[in-house]
Amino acid sequence: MTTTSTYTKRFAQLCCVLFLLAVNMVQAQCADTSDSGDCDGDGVLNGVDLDDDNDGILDADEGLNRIVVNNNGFESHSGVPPRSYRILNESQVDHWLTNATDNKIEIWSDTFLGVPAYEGEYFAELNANEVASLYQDIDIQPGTTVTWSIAHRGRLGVDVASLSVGAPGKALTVIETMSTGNSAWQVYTGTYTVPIGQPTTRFSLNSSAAQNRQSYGNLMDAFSLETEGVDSDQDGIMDYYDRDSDNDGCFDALEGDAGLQLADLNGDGSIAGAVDADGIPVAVSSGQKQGTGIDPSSIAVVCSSPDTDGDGVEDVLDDYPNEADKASDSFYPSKEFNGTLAYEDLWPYVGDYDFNDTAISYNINQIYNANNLIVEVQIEVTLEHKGGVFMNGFAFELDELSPSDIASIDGQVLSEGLFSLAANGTELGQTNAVIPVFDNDEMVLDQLITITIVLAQPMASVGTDPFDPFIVANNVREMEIHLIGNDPTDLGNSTPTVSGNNADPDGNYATDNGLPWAINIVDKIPLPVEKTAINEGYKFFIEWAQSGGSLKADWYEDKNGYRTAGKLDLNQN
Amino acid sequence: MKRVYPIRSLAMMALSLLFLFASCVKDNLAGPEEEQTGPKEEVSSIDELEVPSGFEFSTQFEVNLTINDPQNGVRYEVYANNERLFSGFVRNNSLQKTLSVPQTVSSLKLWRKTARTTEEFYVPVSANPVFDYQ
Repeated sequence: MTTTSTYTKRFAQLCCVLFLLAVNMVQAQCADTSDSGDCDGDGVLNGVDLDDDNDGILDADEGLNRIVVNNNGFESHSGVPPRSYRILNESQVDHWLTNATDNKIEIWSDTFLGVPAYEGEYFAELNANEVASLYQDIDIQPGTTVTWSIAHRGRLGVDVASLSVGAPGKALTVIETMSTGNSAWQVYTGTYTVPIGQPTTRFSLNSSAAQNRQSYGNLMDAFSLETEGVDSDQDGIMDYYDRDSDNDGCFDALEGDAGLQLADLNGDGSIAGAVDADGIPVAVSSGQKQGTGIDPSSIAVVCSSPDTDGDGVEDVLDDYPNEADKASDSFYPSKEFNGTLAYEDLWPYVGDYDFNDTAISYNINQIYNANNLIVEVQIEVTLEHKGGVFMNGFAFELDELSPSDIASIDGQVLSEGLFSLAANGTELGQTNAVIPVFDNDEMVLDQLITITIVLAQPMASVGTDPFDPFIVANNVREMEIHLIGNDPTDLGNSTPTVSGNNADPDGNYATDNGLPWAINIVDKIPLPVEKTAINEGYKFFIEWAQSGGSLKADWYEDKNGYRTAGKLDLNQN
Repeated sequence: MKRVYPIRSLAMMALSLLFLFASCVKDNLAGPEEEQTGPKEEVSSIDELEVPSGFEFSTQFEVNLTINDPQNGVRYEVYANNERLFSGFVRNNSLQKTLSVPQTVSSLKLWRKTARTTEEFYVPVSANPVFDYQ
């Protein structure tokens, strides 16, 4: 069966590779699945390695069934003289059975009546004394797809036979009809997937017509079965290469019956230490059985990770292993970096565009529970620069939330009475939830302010980051300054009555030529020095803006040639 | 007092000017004019800037990410430029999140985590990317 196994493995490997490409997976557990590859890197090539993934479970037990069709070429029997034939009792032909009423099986030797054996020295004639069948019952793992092959030849002319399969003792299904003349052998082949619940399969070669002779015809030789392997979790990786065959997060090596512990494994799930000449890890001697390796509903005790807070998320996957109502974080702009909100506070008059009148570094964390519902929002705010003369306040509007959606707010720094608060910390008089952060930027410079917003009920969404951040200029409540595209809150007035040159008469927080009073950068950046327009510090700001954002989207990054020394305050925190 | 330049100094200045001129000529003759990296029309002041209609000076865009995975409970972490944005768990074979992603990002990195395994995948950034774990 060496050749059969080799072809089987090659076919399985090809299927595996094609599937991986089809689903665009970027990570497989084996880079080279050819016979000359060495998937587990143990120095024993795949073609001769009995455990291709070094999980201690033999390939044969992981679906790479080297399916043995005993006596597949009719070579083993009680004896037939050269260039002759014998009609033998069923018991005299190893492993083959017949449904002939006389229990006879006819075996020919090579070149009898001028017919060469297709393979080896012997072959069978289905019709011994009557039209009948030869069959074997073979144990194959359900779910396995096998490729069958049989050589067929007529005797006196065109003979017709069939191959049928199914569970022993039940009606069989014809999966191939063979019709072959008597001038040459013809090989028929096809595939068959063993149904779930059918551990044993009967393969039956049936004579159906042979030139109207009951005892002549339908010569058969070289019946073989090969397998494509089994992919229990349908992840595109055959089980014999897959170190987690049921995709339950527990390595097969741990789910086997050898009782291995994590300390016995390498990080990739293979068994640590040496292998023997067959590529089997020495730690499991001749291999271990599969255990619960293909049962996704069951994992080994060693794999069960503690869940201290009992929220259904194992501690190793839980950002809050000791808090049952929290499980994961969602950061803006990212866990590692803050964003920058920079304001010109003379709105609606044109300022100097140094965007440092009120400049804030901030980070938002939406905290989820185990069911992906938001339970809390944390906002860290630091006033990085105060460049103007006005006393300004700062707040967020969460326009997907009403004030009653919030249970409490902690961390606000409010002293001037600019915002009137409800008991839960939201601003009174608002339809949407407004979260005041500070109301006097003269008091909070460089101070880390952490706002904790606890929701009344877990929610699927609280809005898109960074929500709607705004300043209130000069301690005048209606003088809100927002990012372009955002509207004022209920207490803001985007078209206040002012004297002089109002640069935003339509109240959209943009000048007539589209310039803003507020910008948000998804990074923490050094601010322009006083009275220096932002484009003087950031050389590609204008190119970015003129292009509508299509060019130099990275204008704010610290790249060679992007910034002007001396125009930016590099000493800020 | 009127400053008097010695002849040697004047000669040096003349040579320097000649060298500068030669350098400029060399640049101009070096080949086709290089593509300009600055604005097409020189804007000396931000006040002169004309911003295309609808541009809101945003440095981010929204991505509605959908992850389909047959194994409930698996944790996904989403990264942009190797910075962690989001983490959540597969429920009902799905995980969805609207993310604000820097406009400089072209792909998102996904870490698929179980208690014992971590797999890495990449998803091109679009308005509505879908990742199907097979």
